[in-house]
Amino acid sequence: MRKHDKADPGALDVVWAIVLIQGAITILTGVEAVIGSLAMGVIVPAAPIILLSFGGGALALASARGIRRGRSWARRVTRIAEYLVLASGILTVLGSVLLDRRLPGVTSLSVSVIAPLTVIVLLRRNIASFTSAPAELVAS
Amino acid sequence: MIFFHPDDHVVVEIADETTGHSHFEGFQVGDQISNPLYSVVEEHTAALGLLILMPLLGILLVRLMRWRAARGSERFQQLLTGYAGQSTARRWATWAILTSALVHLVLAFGHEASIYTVLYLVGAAALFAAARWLALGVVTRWTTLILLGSIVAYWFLGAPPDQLGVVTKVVEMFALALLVVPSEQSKGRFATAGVVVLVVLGGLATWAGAFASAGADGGHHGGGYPEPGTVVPYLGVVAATDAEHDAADEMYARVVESLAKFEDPVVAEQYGYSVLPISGSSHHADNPEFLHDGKVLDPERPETLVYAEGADGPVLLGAMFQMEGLGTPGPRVGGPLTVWHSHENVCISLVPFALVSLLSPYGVCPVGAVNLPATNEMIHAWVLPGVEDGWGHLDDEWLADYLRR
Repeated sequence: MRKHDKADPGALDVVWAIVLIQGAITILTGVEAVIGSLAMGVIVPAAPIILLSFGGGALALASARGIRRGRSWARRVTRIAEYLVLASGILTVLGSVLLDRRLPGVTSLSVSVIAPLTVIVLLRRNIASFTSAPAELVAS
Repeated sequence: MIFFHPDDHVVVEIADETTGHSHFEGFQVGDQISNPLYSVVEEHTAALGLLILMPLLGILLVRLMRWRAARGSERFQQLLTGYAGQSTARRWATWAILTSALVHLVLAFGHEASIYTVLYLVGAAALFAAARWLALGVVTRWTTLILLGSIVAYWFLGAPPDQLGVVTKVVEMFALALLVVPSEQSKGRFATAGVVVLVVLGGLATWAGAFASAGADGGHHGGGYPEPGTVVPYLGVVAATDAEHDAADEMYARVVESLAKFEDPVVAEQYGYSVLPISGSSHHADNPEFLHDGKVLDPERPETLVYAEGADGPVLLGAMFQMEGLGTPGPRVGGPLTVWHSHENVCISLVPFALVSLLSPYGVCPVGAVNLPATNEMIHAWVLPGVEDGWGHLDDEWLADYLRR
């Protein structure tokens, strides 16, 4: 119960903002993959990646909305997604250090390491704000 | 256009021949030069340091404000009281805007005096004002407009974009999202869509700026950077000697002769190249055996063949020779006429294996792709009849015309 001591429902707005931007960035990577694969003539092999990016982006936007409404499913989905983003961020850091002998760009570190860590910590501290029932029913 | 040839802009006049410093900030002859999109230009390093130290600076700033407030400063008392009454979202937004303001302020003094100095100072002043209003609980449309203005101004004035610029814009977009946190259904949809559109447009504008910096106009940090994702050695002004011309021509003739048999992709398959199916205008077919045979720039054993889909079937464009291992420089048999290059931050799809894009300016690959931060060095030899530059860049428009014939 100790972690609930720091609960701050307003922090979910911060999570919403971060996940929203992550979702938009994921959609952008889908657009970039379309343009890049068209330019290189590999649109067919790139199709699964493009679909995954647009789908992942849409899921992130839906999760952001669910988080602000206090939905448990959104918290679970976001938590899993953030751990995946963090794992991919750590791989990026390792790959960059081992192969290129330098840290990845500050944007990579911010989006792939700092942002997911922030979301994971804020969700953990505010677990009490989530419910499996619609928020308006709980309020009444 | 990819710049790795002495005729192109990557080889620019050296401002100071005694030191070898060029107008590319921080680069000297022999350095590897890439587009600033994935790095931080020298004039921005102080601002990057500030960004990294911001949490510490934030703590010091709060303590200073409390100290001043305790000594009777009404201004700081007002600020602290106002800040304490703000929602969590507004507090985070205040810090995000303050961070951006400080970055702008440091940038104003990090560059040589120019119109950009004024723009940075105006931006810093506006952002400081926005942060103050937020801390005091005065939220006006001006706060949102200042953030929007700072974000959109970067699309047009930020070339060449670098990591500091992009991450500062991400911080500003984060602040903007926190300012428009939806409180009701309709506003929620509008706010969400607005932030998403802004992030996507910002990414596309950053690409445009990065590619523009590879053209004649490189923005306020000079032109002639390599294209995003391409890394070339910085040569300074180098004229090829007669011997280098001869060596380059001789090697080129041997490559043309050797590659003639591969005009038929079936023959290439027999030699071990993974040719089929050929798609697009730059189909690279590797030979797994030649990739690891220890041979370097062997005209009989090019590591990769390059094909395109032509009107009447596959067309052999040329070959790509590759070095084994990262960071091993290729031999410049023709001096500045045969400059090798490498790539950085390419996104690779693993299933099926394909190069799908470059790393996004926001630092991530598409879902399901991994980032390859660096590649080995490579050089192309183009063997099409009439090609302008056999060892250099194959012009896209020229190729399209050729393939239509």
